[in-house]
Amino acid sequence: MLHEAPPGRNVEVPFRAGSTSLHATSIFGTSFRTMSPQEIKTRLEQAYPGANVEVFDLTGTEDHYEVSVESPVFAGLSRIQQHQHVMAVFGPELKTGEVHALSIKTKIKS
Amino acid sequence: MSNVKERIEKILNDNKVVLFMKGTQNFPMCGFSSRACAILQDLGVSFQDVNVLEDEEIRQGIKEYGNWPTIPQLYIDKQLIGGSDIMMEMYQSGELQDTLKA
Repeated sequence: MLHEAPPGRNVEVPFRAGSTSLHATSIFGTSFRTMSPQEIKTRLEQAYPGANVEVFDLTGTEDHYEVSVESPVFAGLSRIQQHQHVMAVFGPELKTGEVHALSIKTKIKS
Repeated sequence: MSNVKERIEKILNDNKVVLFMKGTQNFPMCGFSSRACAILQDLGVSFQDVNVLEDEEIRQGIKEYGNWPTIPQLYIDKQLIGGSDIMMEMYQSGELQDTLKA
């Protein structure tokens, strides 16, 4: 589980006024656009054509996700390299906090 | 930045198993760090803990050093193995035990 607040944010899990809203607002008044489970899935399927992709919204707040990717691309990579590979797909969103926590599962598809 | 890189490399050179964590192995300050310690303790592995909460330079530096954004981070033989999720998977599959023996 990646679970680190970006610089400048003091809380790990910002309070959400409305959990279904696309534009969630933190207690600091900063607006964070979140990514929907479908957007996450589409992004992964584009990055890993032919992969088996599963996405779970862990908290119902569209910012704590668990993703599972089974792709032949991971062959020959260590686990950490496989996870770094998937993390890079969400590099900008992890930086801005749009995706706040990402738990990754990878499998080599043969 | 080169200074912190040298400090990290010295820690990794001096210790086979290093856990960069929040708190200490006797007093973890985060659930993920606690889980990482518990895994190593269960395997009876002695390891060097580095409390990033007491060292802001290393806290930031270690993330860049291994291109991994979160704490805890386990290093074995200077290689980044992973955080608590990867540790748990490898513990359950027996890979962690094999890596430690190597």
